[in-house]
Amino acid sequence: MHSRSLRLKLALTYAGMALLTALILGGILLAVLGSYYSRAEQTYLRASAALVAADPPQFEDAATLASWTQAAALTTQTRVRVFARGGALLADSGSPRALDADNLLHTEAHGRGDGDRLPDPFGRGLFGSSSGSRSSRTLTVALSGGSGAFVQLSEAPASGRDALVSAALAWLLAAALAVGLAALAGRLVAGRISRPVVALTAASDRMAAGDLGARAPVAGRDEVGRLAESFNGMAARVETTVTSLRRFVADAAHEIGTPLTALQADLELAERKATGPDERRLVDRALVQTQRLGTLSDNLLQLSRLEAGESGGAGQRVDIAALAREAAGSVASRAEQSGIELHLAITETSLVVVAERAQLQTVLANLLDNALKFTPEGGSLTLGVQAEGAAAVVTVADTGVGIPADEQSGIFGRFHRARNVSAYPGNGLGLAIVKAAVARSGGAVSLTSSAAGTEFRVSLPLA
Amino acid sequence: MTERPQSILVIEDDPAVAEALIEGIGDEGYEVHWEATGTGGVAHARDRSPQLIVLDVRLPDGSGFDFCRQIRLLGLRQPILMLTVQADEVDKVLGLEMGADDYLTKPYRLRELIARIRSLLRRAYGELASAQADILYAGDLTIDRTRATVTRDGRPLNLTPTELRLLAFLAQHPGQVFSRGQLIENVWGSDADFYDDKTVSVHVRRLREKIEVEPGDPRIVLTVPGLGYRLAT
Repeated sequence: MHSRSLRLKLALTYAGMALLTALILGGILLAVLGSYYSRAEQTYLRASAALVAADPPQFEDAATLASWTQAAALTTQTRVRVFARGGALLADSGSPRALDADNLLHTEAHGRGDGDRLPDPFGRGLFGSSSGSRSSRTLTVALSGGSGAFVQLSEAPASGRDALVSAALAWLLAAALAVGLAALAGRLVAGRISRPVVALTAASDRMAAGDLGARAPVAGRDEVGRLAESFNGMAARVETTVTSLRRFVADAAHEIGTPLTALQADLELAERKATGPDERRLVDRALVQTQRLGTLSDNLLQLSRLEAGESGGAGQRVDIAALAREAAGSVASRAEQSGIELHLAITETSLVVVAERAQLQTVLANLLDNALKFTPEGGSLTLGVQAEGAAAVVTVADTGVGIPADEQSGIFGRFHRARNVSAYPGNGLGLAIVKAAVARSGGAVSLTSSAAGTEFRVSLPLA
Repeated sequence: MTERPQSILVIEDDPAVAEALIEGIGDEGYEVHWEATGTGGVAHARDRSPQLIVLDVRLPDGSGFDFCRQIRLLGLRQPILMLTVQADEVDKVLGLEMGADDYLTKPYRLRELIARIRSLLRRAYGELASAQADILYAGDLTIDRTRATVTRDGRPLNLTPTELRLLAFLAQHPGQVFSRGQLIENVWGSDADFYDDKTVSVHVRRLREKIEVEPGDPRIVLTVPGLGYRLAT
């Protein structure tokens, strides 16, 4: 998306620059040519006028005058007009291009025969004021012989204008070609620049998604190449930091787990060998706390792994319906013993999502554990799985104590425990783990809760 | 326990954990040997051929998985119980694929470890597994049908005759699921007509309160939703 816009921008810039250059150069060329031909035309008219004036016309009758005018026009290849002293038009040869030697007598006295002349494509505008340009191409000569009449020559052979027109057409073609080539060059250059940038973006996206081994290819020693190098350096550092942090958490959990195991085993031995009820009670209490510590260290390890984006492997195809039945089976005994009715509302025999099996097991186990924990005896718990559009939706609904409205938004935060459950066991990590695990599977979790109970809804994209 | 003590090899690097294991498992009448390294453990397994091996996943000279594989490559077929890092699902799966028979995550309960050891030994050597045997096992409980006693750690639990019959019936078929109707027929027998499903649920509940370490989270007699009950294997 960004690469495309960069390409477009650069192509447009190059094309614009080419167009501007062509306009300036073409303008100068045409102006020079135009003024050269304008001068040439003037010279030609002057020479022709000298020729015409050397043989003044007879004014006795209009026909003689007209034929003289025709002859003069044919000789000079210009339009010849004869005016009386007062400025009245006496004869007009018409446009020299309309003239034909066989057709001399058909001269219109007042014709405006410039309709069939090639239009001057830049006579107006580009070469200054039109009247100026017109007057520069018209030459008026007083005729000798004391008649006071004068002759006006205009529309000299248009070879100069033709040259200008063809030069202009050639210029237009060349300019269009140049602009096209410039745009193409811009695209190519932008492609060359953006390809490593695109690769760098891809590497950075992969890294953001948790692939810490992602590196950008370093192409060349230009600015982009150095940027890629610098990105790779940063990526390596991040990878080292995260890896060592992750290893630290895993090591810490293991290091805590080992003495906890020994402590727990020793406490169990002590419990077994305890002689009095007081001793047993104290040891039991210590055992409960040891287990609590064990669960805490276990949950911290789980959460840190989930949040670090560490994956135990690519997602597998998991049948969430079967997994839910399994999870229900593993809490059924506990539900029955706590006097809570467990209902299954699993409509599909099989519903496949792509996720990590163990993570989904954790999600189900944590939600069910909460529901059982916070539902008093005589209540009920419903585990549902159904397909909704392109998602598998798992619902865990209980008739438990509910979550206060003002605490519902923060309930997924780590170590967050609602104020109405402080008397229940727990460390406030269960739902944080649920949220992280669901997010890792590309799903979403939400809840609705009142004093009558709570329902958690987990939706996962179907495979 | 009985005539010839079964020998169990514990491969665990931490002396404190090992000590507790040796004492806890030893108290059950097994002969326990301890090796602190994987290499030492493999050598011991090869030379002494213990009946069961408890193998820690993290050892100073390598991964428990590798040693598990080495033991299997030696052609040794005895049950291996792996002790893994907590909640490490990947390790768990790997452990079973590497030829381990069962796993426990740390920190585990000694009681559960011993129950697993017993169950593995019973499965591997078929000791007293017959439905007709007088001594039955359920989790870490020992059921003596001739004397009509149920004991944990040698201490008797006070069960009513019906509760004892119920537990013994389930223990004869570990893992098999029985409906409440089937249980009425088999446990209550001739009086079956007078009882309904509710009776079974009430008795199971009371039984659990007596035999489970944590009655709120039963581990021995398990409910199978929509079907009935079974004994944990």
